[in-house]
Amino acid sequence: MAMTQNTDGYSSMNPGLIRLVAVALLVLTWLASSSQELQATSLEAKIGPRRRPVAIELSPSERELWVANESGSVMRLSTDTGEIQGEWRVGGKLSDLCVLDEYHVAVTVFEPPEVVLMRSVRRGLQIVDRLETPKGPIRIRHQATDGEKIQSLYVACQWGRALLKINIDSPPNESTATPIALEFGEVRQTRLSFAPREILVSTRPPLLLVTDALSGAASVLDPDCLDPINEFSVLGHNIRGLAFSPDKESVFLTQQILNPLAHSSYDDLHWGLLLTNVVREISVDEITAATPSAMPRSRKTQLGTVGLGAGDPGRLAVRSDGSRVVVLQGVGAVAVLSADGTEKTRLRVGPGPSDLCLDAKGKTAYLPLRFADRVAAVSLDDPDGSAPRVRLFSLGGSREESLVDRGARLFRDATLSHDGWMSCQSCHSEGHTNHGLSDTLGDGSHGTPKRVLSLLGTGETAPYAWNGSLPSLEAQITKTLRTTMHATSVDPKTVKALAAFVRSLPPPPPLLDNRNTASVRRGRQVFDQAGCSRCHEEPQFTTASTHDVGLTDERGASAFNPPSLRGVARQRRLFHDGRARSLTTALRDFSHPGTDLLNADEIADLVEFLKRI
Amino acid sequence: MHRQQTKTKSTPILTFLFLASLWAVRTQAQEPNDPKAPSYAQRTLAVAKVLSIEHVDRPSVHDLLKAGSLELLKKAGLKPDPWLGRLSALSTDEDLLQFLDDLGDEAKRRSMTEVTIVKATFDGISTWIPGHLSTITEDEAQVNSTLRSNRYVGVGVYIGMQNERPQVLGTFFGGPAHQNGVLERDIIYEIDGNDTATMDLSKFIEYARGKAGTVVTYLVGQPGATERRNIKMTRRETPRQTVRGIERMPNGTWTHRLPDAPVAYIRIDAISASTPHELSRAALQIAKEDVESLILDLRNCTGPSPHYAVLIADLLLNSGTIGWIQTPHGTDRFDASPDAILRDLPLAVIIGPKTLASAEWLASTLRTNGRAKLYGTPTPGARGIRTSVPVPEWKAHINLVTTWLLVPASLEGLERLRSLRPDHRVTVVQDRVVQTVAGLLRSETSHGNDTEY
Repeated sequence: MAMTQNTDGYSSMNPGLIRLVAVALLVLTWLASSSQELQATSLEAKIGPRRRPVAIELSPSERELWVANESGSVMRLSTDTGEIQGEWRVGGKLSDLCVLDEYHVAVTVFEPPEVVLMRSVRRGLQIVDRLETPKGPIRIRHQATDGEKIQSLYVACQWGRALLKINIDSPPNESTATPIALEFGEVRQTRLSFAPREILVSTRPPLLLVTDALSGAASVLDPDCLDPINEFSVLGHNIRGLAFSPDKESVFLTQQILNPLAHSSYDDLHWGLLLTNVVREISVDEITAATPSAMPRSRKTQLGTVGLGAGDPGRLAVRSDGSRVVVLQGVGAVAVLSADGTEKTRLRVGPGPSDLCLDAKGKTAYLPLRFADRVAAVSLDDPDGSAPRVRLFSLGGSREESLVDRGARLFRDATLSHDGWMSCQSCHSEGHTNHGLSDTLGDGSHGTPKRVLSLLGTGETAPYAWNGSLPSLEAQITKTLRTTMHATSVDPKTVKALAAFVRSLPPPPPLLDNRNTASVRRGRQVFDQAGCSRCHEEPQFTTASTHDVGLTDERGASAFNPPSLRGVARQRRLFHDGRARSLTTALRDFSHPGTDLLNADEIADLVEFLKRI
Repeated sequence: MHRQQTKTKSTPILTFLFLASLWAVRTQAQEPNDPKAPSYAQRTLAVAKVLSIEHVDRPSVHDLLKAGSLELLKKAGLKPDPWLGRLSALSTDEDLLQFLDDLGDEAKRRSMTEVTIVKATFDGISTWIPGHLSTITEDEAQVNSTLRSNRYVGVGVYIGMQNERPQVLGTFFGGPAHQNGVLERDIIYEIDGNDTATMDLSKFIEYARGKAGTVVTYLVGQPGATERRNIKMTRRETPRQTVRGIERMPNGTWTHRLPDAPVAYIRIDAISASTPHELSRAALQIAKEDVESLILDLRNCTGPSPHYAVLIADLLLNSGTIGWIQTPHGTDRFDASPDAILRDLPLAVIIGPKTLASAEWLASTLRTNGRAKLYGTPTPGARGIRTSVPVPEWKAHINLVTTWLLVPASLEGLERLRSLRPDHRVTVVQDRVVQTVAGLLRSETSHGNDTEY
């Protein structure tokens, strides 16, 4: 796996050539930036693309902050002054960053999917290795053993439903003057039954916890060989923060719970009943027990209160005294909770705090503000209140915001909802779905909870709502803002921006790669012969009308607009109320039109086909 | 809710509840002399149509008109025939209105007035449908709605009458009255400069009501004291605490551990929109209090909202079917999701004759699912949940039964919730009930039904 690479991609080289290139590089380094080094962006030019910082980490010395920008660049800032020491373009859409030591930084690139290892050199940053990954690498974490020495990296690939373990090789280095050049070593990969996102890894106790990006599913793995130890789930979804307690006997996570028994009424939202934002504490023993529970016992603390919602909790850190620092992404704030879970302080930092890192003493928190192109440095403990508690470091970037960018920001803005309890993201996780049920007025009545639909690729799939009653995205968004989120007012500009953002979302990728196997070909034939396209017409695999498929809701409605089948194999539940838990059961057990006469083999083939659209 | 015993001449009535309890039939929700007011016929048909859609039993419009007409005919001294025969043959709204107009005219010829005609007709309809019928004004319906939501706008006082003056029976913790120094037992001598000596309670309430942000001034004094205090307050949304514990801390939250036993105590006074939220908060406090079991006191719990009873049951149950509710739209079943609060603590629920409606249903489902044992004395048996529904084109709401609370029948199927009998009958004096139940819960030595203490 270890290979020398340049910024253009892979290039395997022999040792002689490497030496030649190295000499050439040394020469060129004195003259200009090397082709192997990432070009520093001119810091003079403040006007440029928006950075959209998504990840942050302190260097081991805590003198610098490393920031990964969704726009494709990595930045290094002074922690004291916020001065930008450099910005380097990696390319692609960065999703996370991991500082390995004082010299090495690894980033994940969501699209095109890869992990990139970089090393600080005299004049900047140099790519030393890169590795193509399954789709959608979203999180990278490292495991350190033997003191500070980094041994492995773990990468969660959301759309690829895979977890990678990348060993880090550190070739012998006789010189003490130059840093060791790390490389990617052996790579292990395991498939997961969900779309992984968050990772928590520990050497002592040996534990690797991976959680779903969408629902409350989680997996405990052997951090060494990635063998599964336990699978469990927590009630709810959108797990966005994971941390150990100081004694490592418990795991804390931030998440949300959408209650299908609650209504999207003003009262249920007002009293925090519809959607709750929580910090959950689970004993490590519970999730590693020999006879594990599918839903382990836990203690949950609700974030926010009436009049002061805490929409979309994100990153979480637990300090040595047991107090917790929680990012409240939806309301652009960071909260400090005491060890018993009571919210002690809440500080507004700005829109889109997407990550969190604390200094070693736990006194200062750093948060990249995704929608403000800034980093917030927050003094968490300030008893006399004399110093400003929030300092903002600009990352440059353009002040202009495109319509889609504005929509992306509003999509995650819980302040659009009454008291800040929820944003669009709260249910439509990453634009997709939380796989839950929600009892909104989308179908015209309460008492009929329905599956939260994915928004991915729905720009061209009008009409909207399960009963197809809303002709446009704008109508759907307006209704949601009014009757589910209970926005104080609905600004047409807000609706327009949100609609533009939703239209920009690509469909979910197929669960499996588009290999045209015999089974897939047969499945395609079954799809055609069974008349599936009468309701699921290509290319969107849906139609604009409503259809009665023989399933009624609690109020007797049976005519539903078919959701697109694109990415349908990624759904954990199917039909309007999620009564089918897999494609096979949906096709086999519910007399779905066209499938009545299919035998088991034909259903299996059809499922194989559906996994690839 | 703080219900202090006071020596009052009249029954103490809580101001904010008073309007919610006006069940009397009102036939003049809109003045009959108002030229825009709907006629008797229009009003009757409108009510019958609303009932046929919103009443839990979905009675037919014809049956309702027949019941109303029969009573009117009786009051007017007319024979049912040929009126009822004519009614049964009609189908269109136009024909039905014409029939009612004709019947009303005939009644007027028998010296009945518009008011008595409407009253007789509504009485007939009311006695015929299960749960009866009443009307309230839009304002009253709004008050009811805010009570159910626990978002009542006011200064947060409980009011009774004392020597023909309004008296403060208690204040909502953290509300304007509480924060501005209104004291329990204060007599209110003036409201906004108006002497209360000439006011009955409903008149006082008229003065007391107002929109959020408006100011009201009370002139108050303690009984027997000569000092008077002028207290100016701004009305605002003032939730009352529906979940209580043992001792209230300065920040308004409660401790729940009994002083002499490792038993947590929660009292729910009403099931409103805020109650599940409050219960979750109480659970967090209890988790810190090192207790071994839990008492849920529902003895004085009213529960007009089955929806919030469902959410409370969902909090307390880790699995199983919470229960069934019959509405005009059908019968809904509710299943509990995992993640119950306080699930490791054995639970005793105290019930009594004032455990009403959804609170009874909650107690029932906790027992049915094996989560709790019931202590105390029997409950009255829920008679259906009433809801106020607007009548189109008429500035009034009608109160009607919209929900039956269902439980598994003894043999099979479902049946309406009946009086609950406790597993352990506890008939000691009120002050000793909690201690007695705590003792029983701790010892767990008595498991027989209907054991009496």
